[in-house]
Amino acid sequence: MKAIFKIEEYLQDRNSIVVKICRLHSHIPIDETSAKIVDCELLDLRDTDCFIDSLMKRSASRFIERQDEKQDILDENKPIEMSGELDLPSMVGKVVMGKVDDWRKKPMSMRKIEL
Amino acid sequence: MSCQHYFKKLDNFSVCALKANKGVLEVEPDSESCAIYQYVFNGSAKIGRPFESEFFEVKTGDFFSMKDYLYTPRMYEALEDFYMFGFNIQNKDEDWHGRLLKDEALKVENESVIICLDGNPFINNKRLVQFDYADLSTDKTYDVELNEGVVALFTKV
Repeated sequence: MKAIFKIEEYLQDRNSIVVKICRLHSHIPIDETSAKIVDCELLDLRDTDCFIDSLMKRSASRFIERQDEKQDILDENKPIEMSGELDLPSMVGKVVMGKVDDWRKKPMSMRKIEL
Repeated sequence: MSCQHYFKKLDNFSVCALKANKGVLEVEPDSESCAIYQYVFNGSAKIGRPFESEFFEVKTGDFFSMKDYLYTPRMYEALEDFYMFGFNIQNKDEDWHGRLLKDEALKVENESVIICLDGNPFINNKRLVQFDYADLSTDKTYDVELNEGVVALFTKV
C-alpha cells in the first residue's frame, strides 16, 4: 500500500510536525483528512528517505486505519467471518476479510474438537 | 536471524506463538501483552520488561504464568532457537487458571478448555494432534492419557 502525507506546519519549539496522511488512492482529498501532531524525536531524521520511511512506519498505517474506520462500508463489501478448516468451494462468491499489513503475525492453525 | 509471531482469536480466548532464532531480541508492546500462560516448545529465552534489570529464564517444557506481566511491555531474548505458545485473555477483567495435565481422570467445575500443545495424547480415547482444542463440560469426566504428549487445561476463575 502506498500513502501520501502533507506537513501543514513545523512546530520548531517542540520539534514536531502537524501532518496529514492518507492512502495514495484515497478518494478523499488529503486536505479534507484530519491532521495529527507527530513528535520528530520519534522519527529518523538522518535524511529525507529515513524521515519518510520512519513517518510511514510509525504513523501511516494507524492514520489510514482510523480514516478507513470512519468510512461506511458498502453493503456489497460487508464481509462475513470465516475460520477453521479450509473449504474453498464454500468460499466462492463470499466476501471475506483479512489483514493486509500485519506482516509480523501469521494465523495459528487451531482445530476445535468435541470430546 | 528471524522472528515470527502467530495469533488466533477464538470464541472466549486467544492463542499466540513466538518463533525466534537464537539471538533475536523481541519486544511486545503493552497493548499486545495479553498472554497469561506460556509454554516453551523448544529452546530457551530470557524474559523481562524493557529497561529493567530483572528477568527470568525459561526453557523447553516450561509452563508458566505471565500474569505479573499482563499489559506491560515484554522483552524476549532467544538464547537458543526458540518456540513458545501463549494463552491470551480477551478482556482485562477476566482471569483463567492454567496447568498442564497428567495422566488423570479430569473433572472441571467452571468453564474450561483443553489445548493439545504437543504429541498425540488421548482424551476419552480420542487421539489429539498439536493445537487441537476442546471446550469441556462440567457434567463429564475426561480420561487423560498423555502418551508422552502435552495438554494444557485452562479454567475460567
